[in-house]
Amino acid sequence: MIGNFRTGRPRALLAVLVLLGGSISESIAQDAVPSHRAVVGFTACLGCHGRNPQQPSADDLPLPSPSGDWILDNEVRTWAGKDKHHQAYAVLFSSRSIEMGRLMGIAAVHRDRRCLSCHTGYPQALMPAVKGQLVAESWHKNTDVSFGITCEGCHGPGGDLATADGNRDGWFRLHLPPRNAKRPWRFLDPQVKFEQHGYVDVRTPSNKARLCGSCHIGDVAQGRLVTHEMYAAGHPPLPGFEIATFAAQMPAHWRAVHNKKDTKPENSRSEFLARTGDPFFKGDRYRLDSLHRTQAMLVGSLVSLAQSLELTAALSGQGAGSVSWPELAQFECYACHHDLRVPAWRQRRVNPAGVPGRPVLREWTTVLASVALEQVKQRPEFDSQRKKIQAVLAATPFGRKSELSGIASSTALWLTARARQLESRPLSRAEGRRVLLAIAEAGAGGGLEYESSRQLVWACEVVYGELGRGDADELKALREAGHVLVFPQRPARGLGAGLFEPKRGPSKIVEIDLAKLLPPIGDYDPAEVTRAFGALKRAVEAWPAKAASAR
Amino acid sequence: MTWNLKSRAQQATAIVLIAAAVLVPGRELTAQDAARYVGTNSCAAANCHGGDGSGKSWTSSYSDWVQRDSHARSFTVLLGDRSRRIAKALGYPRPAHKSVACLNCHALPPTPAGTTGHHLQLASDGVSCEACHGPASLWITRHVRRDWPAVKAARAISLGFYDTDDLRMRVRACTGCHVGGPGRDVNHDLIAAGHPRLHFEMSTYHANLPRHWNDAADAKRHAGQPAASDRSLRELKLWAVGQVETLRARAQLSVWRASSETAPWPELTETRCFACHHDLRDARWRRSVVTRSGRRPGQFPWAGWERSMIEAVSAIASTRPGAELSRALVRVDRVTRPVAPDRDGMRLEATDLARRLEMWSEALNRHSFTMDDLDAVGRQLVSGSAGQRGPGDWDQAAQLYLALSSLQVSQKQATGLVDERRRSIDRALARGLPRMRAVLQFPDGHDSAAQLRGGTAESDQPPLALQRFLEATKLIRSALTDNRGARK
Amino acid sequence: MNRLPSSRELSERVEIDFPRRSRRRLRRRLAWVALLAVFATAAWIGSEWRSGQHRVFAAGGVSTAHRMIENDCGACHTTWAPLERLANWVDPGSIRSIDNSKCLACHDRALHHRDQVPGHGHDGLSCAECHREHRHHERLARVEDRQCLRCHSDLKTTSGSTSTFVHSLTTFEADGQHPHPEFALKRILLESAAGSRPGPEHGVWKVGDAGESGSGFRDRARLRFNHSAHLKVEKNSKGELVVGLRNSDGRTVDFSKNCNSCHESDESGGYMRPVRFESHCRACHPLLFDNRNEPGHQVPHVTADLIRGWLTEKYTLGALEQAGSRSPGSATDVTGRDSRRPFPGPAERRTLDPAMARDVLGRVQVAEAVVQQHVHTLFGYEAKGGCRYCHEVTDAGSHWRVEPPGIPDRWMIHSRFRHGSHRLMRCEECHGDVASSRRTSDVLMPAIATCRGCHSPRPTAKRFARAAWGARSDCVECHDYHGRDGSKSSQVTTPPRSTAEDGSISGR
Repeated sequence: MIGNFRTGRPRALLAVLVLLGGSISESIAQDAVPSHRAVVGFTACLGCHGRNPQQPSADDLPLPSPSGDWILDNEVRTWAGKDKHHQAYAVLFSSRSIEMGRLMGIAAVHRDRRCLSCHTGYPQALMPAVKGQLVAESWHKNTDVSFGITCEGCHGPGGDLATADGNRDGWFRLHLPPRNAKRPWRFLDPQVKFEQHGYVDVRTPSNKARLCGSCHIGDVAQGRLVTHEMYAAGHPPLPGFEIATFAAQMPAHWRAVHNKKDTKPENSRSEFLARTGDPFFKGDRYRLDSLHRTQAMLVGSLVSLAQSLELTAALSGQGAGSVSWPELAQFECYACHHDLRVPAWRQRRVNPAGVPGRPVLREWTTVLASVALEQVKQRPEFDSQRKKIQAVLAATPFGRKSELSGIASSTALWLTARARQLESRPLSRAEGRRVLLAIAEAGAGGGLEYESSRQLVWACEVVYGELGRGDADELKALREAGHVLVFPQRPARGLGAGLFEPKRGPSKIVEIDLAKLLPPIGDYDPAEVTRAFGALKRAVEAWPAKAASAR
Repeated sequence: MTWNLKSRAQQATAIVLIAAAVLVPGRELTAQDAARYVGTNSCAAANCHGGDGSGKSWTSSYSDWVQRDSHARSFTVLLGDRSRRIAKALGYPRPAHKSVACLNCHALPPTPAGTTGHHLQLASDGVSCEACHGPASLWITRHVRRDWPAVKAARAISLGFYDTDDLRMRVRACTGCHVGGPGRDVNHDLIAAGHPRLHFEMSTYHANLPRHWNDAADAKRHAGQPAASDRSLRELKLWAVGQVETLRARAQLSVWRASSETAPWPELTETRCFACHHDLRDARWRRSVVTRSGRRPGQFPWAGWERSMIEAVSAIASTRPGAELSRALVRVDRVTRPVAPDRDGMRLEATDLARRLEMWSEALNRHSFTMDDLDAVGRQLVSGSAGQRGPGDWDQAAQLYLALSSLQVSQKQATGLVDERRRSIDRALARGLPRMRAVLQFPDGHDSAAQLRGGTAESDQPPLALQRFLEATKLIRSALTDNRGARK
Repeated sequence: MNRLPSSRELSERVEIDFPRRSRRRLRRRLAWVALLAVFATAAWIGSEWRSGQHRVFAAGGVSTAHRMIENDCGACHTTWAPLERLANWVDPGSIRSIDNSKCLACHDRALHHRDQVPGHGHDGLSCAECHREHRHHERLARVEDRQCLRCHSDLKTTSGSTSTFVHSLTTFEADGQHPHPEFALKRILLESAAGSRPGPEHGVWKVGDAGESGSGFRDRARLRFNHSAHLKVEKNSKGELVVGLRNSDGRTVDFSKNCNSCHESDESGGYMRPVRFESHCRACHPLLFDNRNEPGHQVPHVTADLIRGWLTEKYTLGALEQAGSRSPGSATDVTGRDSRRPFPGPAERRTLDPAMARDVLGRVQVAEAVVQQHVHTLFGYEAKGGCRYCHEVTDAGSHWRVEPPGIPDRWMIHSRFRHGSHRLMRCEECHGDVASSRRTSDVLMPAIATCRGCHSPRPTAKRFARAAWGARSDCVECHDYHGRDGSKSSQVTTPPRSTAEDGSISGR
């Protein structure tokens, strides 16, 4: 497939360009569900975003307008060539998926909306179910489906939308240079972009986190949910989500605003900052030298917690289709799934459930959130809310359904507000050091289960990457922790590689081979990691505050 | 848990209601309301049951109990450090040795009338005579008279005397605590706080219980139709009745749990421990075990331990309960499909199931066991699903092991191993059982079946330990199913 | 020619019958005026009444607490009988417009004393008799001394018992005519010390206790404590401690200056909290029980039988573990014996062989012996420790139990006292003889003289900031007229509470 792009097809591209002329909306109008924007399809993006800057070919048509150095021109190639998201759909044909289908009594996994809602770029509204959860056999032949999470899977369907009050232009047509000459697309307020034209903002951390989380954590409204039944049937466990780390993992087909070139004659960055309608970049909220990834990490942690709480609220409330409360997937896997030992670290630590023998919600979601809320001085409030939730959960096994949903959703709202508050101010290096210290303290506290500890290690990596420090002893401590958590199977020399290469950034962050990943989680004992974080804590405390802020 | 007054009242009523079902046929309950505990002192007299063992076995039953039976120390356990920690963790207002929840099992149980023997003087004797033989206030006087056997035969129950010569009564004396009942509930909170889990198997516990009665006479009483007149099939009967009664008690417990406000719901011990408490591996065999047993992925099996030998018991042809029992079980499974089963549904189905099991155990109790039954059970054990494809988890394996063990014993007792075939079977068992036991042993430092780890995502192949177990089963099967030297 | 008036003429100048002449007009005027005045007053009073201004007839403002019912006369007054009261002004008490039931509706308080003369308390004497309302008083409870002295200047009791109280009492000052006597507690102590029969039953009596009959009064707390030993301090020339208490980490500490390290005041700041073992004693008196084999290991500070169970379990298990390590895994060789014994699965607990059993029994007995006859060499630092070191342990053969310490929460339970208000003073200024006290039975309460040092109506030796006068010394400053726990009987006393049941020493 990729090959076709490189050699390029003048006619195809020409066709594409013609399509750009606006016939698209009609061309997809008929099979679009009126209530929802249609998907334009990624082939339409190739013209501008599918090039190869290294070796421009004669076939490349001139761009409709010079994008300057704003875009990379090769976004689609990066996605199709390196990004795993485009395999999301193909996975549904693997033996594991077939097996899952067999166990769960699903006739065709690749046609089941419960699977497709995450494994394709299509919103469920565009998946007409013909019988039960199955979509039509013909439907999935559509190329865009078979490419998994396509451009519009994240950026939002680009088609037009016919509403009662006239036709709302889809973002796809609007963002084309010729169309937005007088009202440049680039400078619109993301809210307008979304509400008017269905374009999902991917610049502000909270929006980005929420976007990814809708699959990586779950979202009942969009039918994106991994149930305990799916896990039991063999679905690989969703790893704890941390936006900055995961974003760094994803082959970048973008340049963050602070990384964009700002060269003459366009000076597109300064122009953007001057003219954009995005409040995130306005006034003193945005600084080029702020710790963007760290900020994203903190904000993301709050959003993730909010999302998982929303999920809990939704499931314990009206439920989602056949899924009802208690949905075990919402609870900490290893709270139950471990071999019983006496004595064991679980018995030594403070019982997170309060009452012995009561399952707890996924623990990893809270650990970074607490760190983040310390930054906005909201920790006590948060703890009190957690206590409330804990009380409801401890009242009876799996919590008192009636009260849980209310309290969870209110907490989620509160957290979202805190996230906005946190992203509305830049993060200085001194603050970065405080964050690192807070993380280290959280880790040194001990008693954290595997996923939580891994969250902390990832977070450390993020802060380190930005502070650009590589002091031997701290790194050593961290690498040990990282080694214990992420690459337990690797030989000792693996310590150097992988995480915590401040220059290179992280390599693989999650072990994919379950046979390698799961056993160490089962045998996990926090002692080693706790010690490592203790060492880190001491090391960071030893920093002179000056050195922390000096580059 | 300990009860505030309100719920204690409820509990008392619950006890009256259900203990009526557990302990005596309901119609005689009325006469029994007055029954109270009188304590061990009235049994321990040197020329009653407190003898030195030189006389008949009953003359020293108290002495045997107090010296060799660990039931006599069940109260002292509550003074220990572990008990303190448990009571603390569960936030009991009083120490364990003063909490009703603990004393209900670690001392005298509540009488059918709901009266308890909780004040220290009685409780400190632990699980004493009256715990199993019934509160004595009504029968103690008659008990010492010559005509006691007649009185006992006539109206033991109405006097509150539990006649443990009747095997069913004997099992129920045990299940009251070892399976549980109203207010005697070892639930997940308690276990998580440090209490050991419950897994009751009558013939095993019976074998482990120091004898304070005339065992030979008992064996004769329940001999059935063994190979020779001086032999006995009691062990088999004990096992069969025990299995069914245990499951029945389990169902009754579920009924109580589903209907009582004091009991947490959903109750995690309704399933089996190792359904959840196993290391997470991407192991296909676990999934195939689930589908094989007709559950949905991630569904809790109800009463894993207690029901795993039922199909083997139903091999006893003349008492076979028929299809409606299995249908009742299926209905219970349907109710327990969601993680939080519907309480009313559970109550209804479990009650129905208990009723059917009641009839079955009654039939078994009346049934006079034959050598064919012995062989039938043996064959079913090794060629049932657990025997053929290997047990699904530790509970099933352990039950199979114990069943085969009591099979071995009862064969020994029933035949004396005179003919060659019996001897070969016994040899096979003697070779196979130790291997099985080695598999069942928890690894050091573990309190769960960590040895059953492993397995891969690709194959149904169970982990090595279970394979070894299966080989041992094969070995025994071959001995049990070959018909050379066929029975005449 | 001039002529002199004749006598008749002169006589006619005088009105002889002027007394007979009528003055009706004048009278009528006066009558009108009077009538007018009456109406005017009535009208004025009426208007005041309507406008809710009762100040006209009410005598002065009510106390702060009663402000809310100030305009609701009915809340306190039953009959409004001014005329009757005027009629017999001699004894206004005889007709009352206040009924106690009205007061008791809100303030249901106790009698004063069982022996108080009739008409004193609920029936007869009115509450209002002492608590005078409409006097602009802030607090009605602050009754003037004369209210008390009405009786106590010449006390009569129903039982006619003579020796209970001082019968005539006029002042608090020592050198007054009828001064306030020594505190009963002190008095009894002195008497019993002097060997004479201790004073008759009184509040303090409940706290203390006559031992075997006639042995006199003593504190019945069943706990050994030596204040002087704990406060012993010596410093060398450089002012650093040479003699003092050694705490767990071996440091020498000085308790003589900070009593509050053990005696913490309660939330209200009024009285001292009971001393608790866990927070005040354990640091220096660790409950080590076998420092040789179990260095640093402590028994919990709980009831005797729990400790016994604890030790039993501990030692039995210990012995069993040793036994286990001695005979390696007998788990597999089950051939021959019944393979169901013991139960498979959990690592099996080895059964005791007789020798081991004896060993275990021995160790358990040793442990209990150790606990029972507090062998100092095994217990605590500097041979301190063992239950008996502080507690009374009654030893019934194998079963031993620790007596509840029964330390009184308070002495002088009829009085009212706030340590908080005296925070300016050092503890030993009042509890002076603490430093020298060796026995628990020493009652270290101050004598009344100590109080008089400051509390006096006249200028005192101890001047306060700018006060020319001593601290208040009226009766209610210290005394509680009604039972302080509001109980209906006169026995308003708290028996010493041992907080935990049956010999538990964990409560304190």
